[in-house]
Amino acid sequence: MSMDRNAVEAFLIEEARLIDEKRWREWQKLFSTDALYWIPSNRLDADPLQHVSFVYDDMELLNERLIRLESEFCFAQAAPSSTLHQISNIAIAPGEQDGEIAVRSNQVIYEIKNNSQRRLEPLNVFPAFCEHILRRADNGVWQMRYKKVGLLNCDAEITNLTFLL
Amino acid sequence: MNKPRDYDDLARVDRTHISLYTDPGVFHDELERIFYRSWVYVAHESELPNPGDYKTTFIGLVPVIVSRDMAGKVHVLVNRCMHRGATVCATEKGHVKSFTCPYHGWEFGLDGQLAAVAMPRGYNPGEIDKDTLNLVSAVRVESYRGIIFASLLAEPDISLTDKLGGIKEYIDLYMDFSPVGEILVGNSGVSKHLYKGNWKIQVEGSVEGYHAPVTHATAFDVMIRKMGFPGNYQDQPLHGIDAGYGNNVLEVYRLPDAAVHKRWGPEFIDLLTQAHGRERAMEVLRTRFNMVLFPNFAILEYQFRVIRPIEPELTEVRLYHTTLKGVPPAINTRRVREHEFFYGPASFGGPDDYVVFDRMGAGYHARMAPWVYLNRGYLSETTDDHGRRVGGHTQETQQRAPYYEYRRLMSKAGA
Repeated sequence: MSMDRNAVEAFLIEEARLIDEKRWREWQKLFSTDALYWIPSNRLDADPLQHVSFVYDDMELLNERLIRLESEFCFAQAAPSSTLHQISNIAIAPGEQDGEIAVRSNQVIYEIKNNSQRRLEPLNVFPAFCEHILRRADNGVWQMRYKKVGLLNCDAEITNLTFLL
Repeated sequence: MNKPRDYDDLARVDRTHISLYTDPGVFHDELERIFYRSWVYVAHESELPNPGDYKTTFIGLVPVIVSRDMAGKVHVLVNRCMHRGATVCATEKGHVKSFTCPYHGWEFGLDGQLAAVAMPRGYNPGEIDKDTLNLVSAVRVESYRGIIFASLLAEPDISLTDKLGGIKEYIDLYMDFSPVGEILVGNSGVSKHLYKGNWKIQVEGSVEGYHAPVTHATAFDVMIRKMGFPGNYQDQPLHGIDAGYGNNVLEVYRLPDAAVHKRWGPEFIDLLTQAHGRERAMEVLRTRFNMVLFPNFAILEYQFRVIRPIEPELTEVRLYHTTLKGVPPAINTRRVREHEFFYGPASFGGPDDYVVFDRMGAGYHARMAPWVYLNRGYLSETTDDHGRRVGGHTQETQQRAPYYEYRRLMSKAGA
């Protein structure tokens, strides 16, 4: 059975909720083992093999990223970021290809570092063109095979993107 | 009237005073005496390969255009219309025939010459002298291995050859990573950072051997477990070097030949050997180092790092990723992936540095603790065969180095 629009929306909402609630290990399980988590820099259409990305994680590197975030030594996350994902403009590519569904959405990710001595911390806003490719695993569960977060400000000054998007 | 600041006292050999990082008067003096009157980095030739190409950047606070004219000559022009002062170019890089001000149509050539103004009949004879209204050009522009330096307002008191004398062997090693000895700068990515602190924090921080296992504990963890990085960082036989005129080097690692073979493989080693000879190829691949070319430029691993002072306590840093000409794409892909791992705003290394720089900026307002210590290894410092000061890689010889030049430029002009 394919995924209807309600199911796709529910998937994206749940995926964002796991990040926003810092349930990172549950979020990690949404990815297939061969997945790519990609946040391009400078240009959204750059060839990631010849151009630096903010994030270009296979699942081994993503696991290391989570180990870093869970440790007490990720100083860029002291104070830690809190995020809120707002999801809209969901478009599902017609038809399923090789058991995969391609979904586009616009997401606005708000980020703030609470509990900072400096205070007056700005509320950061990261609007993004997101692309998900969802695939049904053998056990029938839908997973992310690909997640691309195309930041509107990918060519701008961004000093700290050490939280999950 | 304020008495002149004593920069020899504020920038001591083994410590610096917090006012150097916060005081607007100091910042003003630095712009006038260092940024506008000595060699500063502006661009790499690969950013403007063809006639008509340009990039815009800043020398201190001054917006400038680095352009290549139709004869291929590089110019460094102040990006300020000579009429009413708007910048004549608004984009980061591109290709043009000329620069035209959007206010009154004053048009300047790639060499800065005023070519035309809009509605010229409104000027009476004698009201406009075109020869005096060209864009202001930097007094000196020179390059070494494609790295373009300029001195904006004055003839520098040393030649570029002298300025680079103690460090050019490292620049050569960096460039010879390519079999044709050439690199591309910025085509493969630029990350753009801001921190709330003085520009010199990044000068010191670009060659910081001491902090690495502390600030970058999470990155070191992965590098040791997964990337073959040695676990005994402090015991490595590596050095910090004062290369003269503020320039300096931090040796980051040095691989034994067996590790070079494992890391780079026979194909790439043969390619470099054909180009440079066996020993030179191996030497290029054995050594990794960070270097600072005082005041505003550093080369680390796979990046050109450009430091731009904006305010006494606001600094922009851009990391221009570099790729090699004449190599298989997979070699550059590796440079992309390894850079991504440690540098850039989502990486495992760099963001922790910028957080520390912000925290230093905050701490420097504690006036009851006025000194910033850079004395680690001062008493055991030696000199090498070239007369360069040398210390251990976790000591602070390389971070003391900029302040010799700082005192020279700041005190001389203030006298």
